[in-house]
Amino acid sequence: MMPLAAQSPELGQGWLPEFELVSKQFLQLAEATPEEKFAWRPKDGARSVSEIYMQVVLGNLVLLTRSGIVEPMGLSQLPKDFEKSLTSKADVLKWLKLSQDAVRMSAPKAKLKTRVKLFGQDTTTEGVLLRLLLHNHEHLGRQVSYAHMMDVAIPWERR
Amino acid sequence: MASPGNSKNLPKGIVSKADLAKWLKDSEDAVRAAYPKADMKKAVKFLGKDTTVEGVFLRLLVHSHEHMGQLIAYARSTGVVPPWSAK
Repeated sequence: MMPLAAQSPELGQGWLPEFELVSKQFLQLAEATPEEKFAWRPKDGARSVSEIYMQVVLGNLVLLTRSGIVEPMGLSQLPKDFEKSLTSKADVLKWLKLSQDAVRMSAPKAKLKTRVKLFGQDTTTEGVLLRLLLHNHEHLGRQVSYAHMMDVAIPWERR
Repeated sequence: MASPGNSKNLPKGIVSKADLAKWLKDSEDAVRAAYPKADMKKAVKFLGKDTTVEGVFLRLLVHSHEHMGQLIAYARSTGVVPPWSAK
């Protein structure tokens, strides 16, 4: 297997490179997942593959709003029942890319020390952007486990 | 048991719940003790590339979250509800 560092020069390089890496990994994994697997869930009551991807989309768009940067493009077009209506591979990929572009365009221009509220608590734009990044990584981990359970090869772990 | 201060001391075969909990807590304590004293802007090498202490701490944090996500999926698949999600 190719060493992880050789594949992922973004590792340890700061917020934006880490965001670019996790975003690339989501798209690679979604592309590698067969269409019919997007409805798969490990057990009743657990989110499906598509529902987890759409949680990432929601997190990216909503947390950008909470960060006080801008109203990100796309959030107003996200249907209220997005977890049930946006389940196809094409829709998931489209919304993932849109939400990642929204972050990519806004975050580098952010005033990180601006004071904002998140979940009723005082914090800063920097704190919200950190939460956005961690939310991505938590859900990437879930999708990696799902992929293993579905026998979908992880693209960046291929020989 | 070896100290978690140096990863070279990490023995093989840590699989029991008790051992895992101890090593997890010890590693968290090691981070907790080091972070507040760290010089965040200090230049360091990480996986062969130039970065800062801050960049490495961020990698540590996102790495933890990625594996927490993996464990949540394993928990859900075995019918274990994450404690903070339980009603």
